[in-house]
Amino acid sequence: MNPQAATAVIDHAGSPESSAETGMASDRREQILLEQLRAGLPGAFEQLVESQAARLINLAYRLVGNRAEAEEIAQEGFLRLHRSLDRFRGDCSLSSYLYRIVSRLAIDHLRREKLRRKLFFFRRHEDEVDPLEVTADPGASPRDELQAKETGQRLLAALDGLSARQRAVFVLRHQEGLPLKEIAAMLKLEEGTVKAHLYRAVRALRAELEDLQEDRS
Amino acid sequence: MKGMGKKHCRKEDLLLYYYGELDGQRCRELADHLESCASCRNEWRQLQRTLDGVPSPTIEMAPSETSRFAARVAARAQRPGRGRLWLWGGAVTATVVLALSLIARPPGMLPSRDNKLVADAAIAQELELLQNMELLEELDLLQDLEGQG
Repeated sequence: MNPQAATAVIDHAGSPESSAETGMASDRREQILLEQLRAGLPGAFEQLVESQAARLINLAYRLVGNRAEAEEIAQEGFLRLHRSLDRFRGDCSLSSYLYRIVSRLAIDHLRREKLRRKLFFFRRHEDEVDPLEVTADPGASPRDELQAKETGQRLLAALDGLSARQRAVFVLRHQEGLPLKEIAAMLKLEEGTVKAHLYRAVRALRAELEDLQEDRS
Repeated sequence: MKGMGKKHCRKEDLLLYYYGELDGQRCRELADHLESCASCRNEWRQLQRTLDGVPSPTIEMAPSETSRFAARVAARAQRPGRGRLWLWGGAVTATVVLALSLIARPPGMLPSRDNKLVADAAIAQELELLQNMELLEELDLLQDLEGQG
């Protein structure tokens, strides 16, 4: 197995036995929480938000590249779940459902943003929080930090150049480690279309980051 | 990809290979090919280097931050149908404004009978009628000819 796939398995599973147990416990917890939510138990919704917030905010952040917007999108995702609780049939887990809502909201947001920028020549503010500052490794040397910052900025610029769907597919596959089949179901696309989006996204990113790679090799 | 021994790898396949998305047989064939083809191996290494170097920005949220966020969202969820009220309010306001502006419109705002556009439309209608009449006349003529035949 290639390194990326191996990492994804380790991240998502750990050892097979412990992962099965953890998965069952998590499903049971989610089921109880869902029943409590439907029964209108005070605090149940807040508990659900608290358990999923970090994951969903990070997903939205990777998709849109801005923390405030990511929090807004995650919040809207939770509110939509709250409004549709009566209609939630439980075909998938609550966390998958939320993941799906947030991904679609982020795609809509990216499309609107693109249009807004096109119409008003709008640019993101330079003083926004840099993603690499959020994740900066405390043990990194100043040179490493500078390189990481440059890579992060170039990556953001490259991601901004992609279509909303290409960006979503790349983030969901590369950064979230989701299988292409799951991404296709999540975005209601054919698997072949998802593969094409991923290929185009990677081609564009490689073109954008090529000189950076050459400088460092 | 069968018998790809001498053919170079498709870039799409290399990408799927990187993400572990190639099925067993194709995956093995590609791995074998990479061992024997320097050009594809070079392409594969470049792809690996680029993708391995793509960072995954992560927001580390302190428990207090998460709690604050959860409380804020829960409070928003308790506000009954505010979004829809806004929507309905907006729609009603827009309708009232439109109705008032139509009632209080200055004379000449709406096209009158003399308006050129209306006149053009009337001419077009007349022309259409004329064409239809001509068609009917032709039809009569055809029927006459048929009767004669």
